[in-house]
Amino acid sequence: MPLLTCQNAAFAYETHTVVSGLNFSVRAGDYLCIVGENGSGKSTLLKGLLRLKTPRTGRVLMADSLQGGALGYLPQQTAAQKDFPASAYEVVLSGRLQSRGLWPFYSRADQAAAGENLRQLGIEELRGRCFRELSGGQQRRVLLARALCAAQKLLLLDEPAAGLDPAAARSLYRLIAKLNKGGLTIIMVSHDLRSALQYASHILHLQNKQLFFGPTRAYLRSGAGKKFRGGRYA
Amino acid sequence: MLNILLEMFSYAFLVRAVIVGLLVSLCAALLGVSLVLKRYSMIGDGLSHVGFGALAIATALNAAPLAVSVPVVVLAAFLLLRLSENNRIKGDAAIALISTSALAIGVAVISLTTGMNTDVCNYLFGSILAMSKSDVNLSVALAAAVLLLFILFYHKIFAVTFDETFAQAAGLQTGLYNTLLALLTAITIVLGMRMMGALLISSLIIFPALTSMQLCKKFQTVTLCSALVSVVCFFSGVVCSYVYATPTGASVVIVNILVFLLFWLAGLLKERGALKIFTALVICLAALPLYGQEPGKIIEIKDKLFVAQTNDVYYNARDYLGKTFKYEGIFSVYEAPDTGQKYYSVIRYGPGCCGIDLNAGFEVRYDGAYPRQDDWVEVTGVLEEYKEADGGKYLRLSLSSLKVLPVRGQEYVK
Repeated sequence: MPLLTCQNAAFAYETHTVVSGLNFSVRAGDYLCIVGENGSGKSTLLKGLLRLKTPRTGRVLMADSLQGGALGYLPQQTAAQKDFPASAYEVVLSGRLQSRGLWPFYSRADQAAAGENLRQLGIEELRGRCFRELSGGQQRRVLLARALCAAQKLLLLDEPAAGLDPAAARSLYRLIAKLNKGGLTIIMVSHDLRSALQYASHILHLQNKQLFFGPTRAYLRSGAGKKFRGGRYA
Repeated sequence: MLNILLEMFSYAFLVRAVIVGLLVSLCAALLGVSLVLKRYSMIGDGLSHVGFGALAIATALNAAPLAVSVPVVVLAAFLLLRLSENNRIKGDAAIALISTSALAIGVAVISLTTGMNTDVCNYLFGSILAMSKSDVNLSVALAAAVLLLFILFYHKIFAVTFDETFAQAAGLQTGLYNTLLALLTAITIVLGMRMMGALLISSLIIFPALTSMQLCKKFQTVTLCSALVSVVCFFSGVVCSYVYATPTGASVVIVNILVFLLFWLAGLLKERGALKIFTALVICLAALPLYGQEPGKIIEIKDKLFVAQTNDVYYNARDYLGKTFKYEGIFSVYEAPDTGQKYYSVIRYGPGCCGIDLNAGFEVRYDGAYPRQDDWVEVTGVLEEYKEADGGKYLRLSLSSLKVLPVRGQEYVK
């Protein structure tokens, strides 16, 4: 039973269809990388998977184990966050929001989970530091820890390494791969094809429609993969 | 210093104003942190102008000011939020459009009804107007509601402020929380604008947040610090306005500016590790040289706040009937042209936007001989109510003493 299945789904902004013909499924433990050029519908699809957007046609099916919020999400960074006065711990703790429901305060368990995720990502010493004073790589780790607070099964990442220097990006990709080995299912939107091919188990290639979906090995041999790699991204 | 505070709080209307003001500045500071970080500061400014228009209309209709302006401003808040969410640039223009329209309508309504006078000035720049007791009760209740909602939704407001997309993905109704924020802001602005003035109220929202962001690194400390800064600035502003007879709203804003500069400097010095010396220096300077007088048993109307205090007596006459007042002023006589009846009063020349619009003081009745028109007199008397032949009820002081003083005091008061 797959965690998540797209059946002939299409997503649109008002009347303009951004991406269509989506047929793929993600199983527990998969590492799916969604690749494609700018405007090919990657982020729109991610919004659809997060149920922030309903499909125009087709369906997105979620396994029962994903109901009630076992999704973690790492969105692209916004301009406002760059000078936001908040400690790393406060940001991470806000990932537990989903588990709160209507009750207005965090419990001990929430605080423990936030601490545990800081430890897991090796950023415990950043706990009391101000978010805006962290480096790009550290900020991304804090946001990842927040996503982990919400994720029990599935993590969705939107361009996690955007704006990072190559060393920080590599270390972030290694961290994500480690989380995947630990049993977390990953769906990542990325521009960085090389890292995608290195770590992902499956590739979904979009160009306003689904060009390719399958294991990474098969992608390397496919027409779409060869063309994409031979083009401007290799 | 203590004397000044004792003297200030011997005025019932000042106590009420300070209670409402402190609550409003607390609410404004808490909401301000989110509003500033979400780039919503302009919404606060727009809302205050709408509040001005609503107040003007409420006055024209002779309706309770808060009862009219709260719903109008809340409605405007929803509208502005919608506009600014749809399209940033258009949203900005829309705010300017709505705020100037409201201002224009407000000014037109006032000039059609009461005429351009002190009222307009007070609405725009604020004054410690005599607030009626029901106004105060409503203000306290609303401010308490704002505080309670803020505390209950603190973590959610943080999440929505920091990262709306993430909060949305976590299943939070972000639209709902933005609306809540706008609603609370609207209420806070209406409550504070008569004291601070329509043009100055948004500073209560913006300044404390920006000030504490100069030094604080955590959202929680920013929130707590701006609450503290706001309350302290408001209180010192009111004391300064009392001591130096400056307008309340402007005084509070000026104190806010000074504290902002202090924090900004402290932030700079902190980066260079010289914060401790700086803090010590600030504490030394904080002992401002203030002076004061002992409050008397008789209610004494002094030069400072002459207009506000006399206004308070008229607004809340019921509380003051039978009380003894003592003050100095200009003795003046008015003869009604139709009946020939003479009316005596002791007044001062009040303020106005462009000259003198009102004379502040009371009508008086005295059993002894009246002095000449325009003499400077000191009077002591009990406040009473009397009925005129036309059925109207009026206030006057029944004097027990009337002395002509050789030295004239301050004829023009605020």
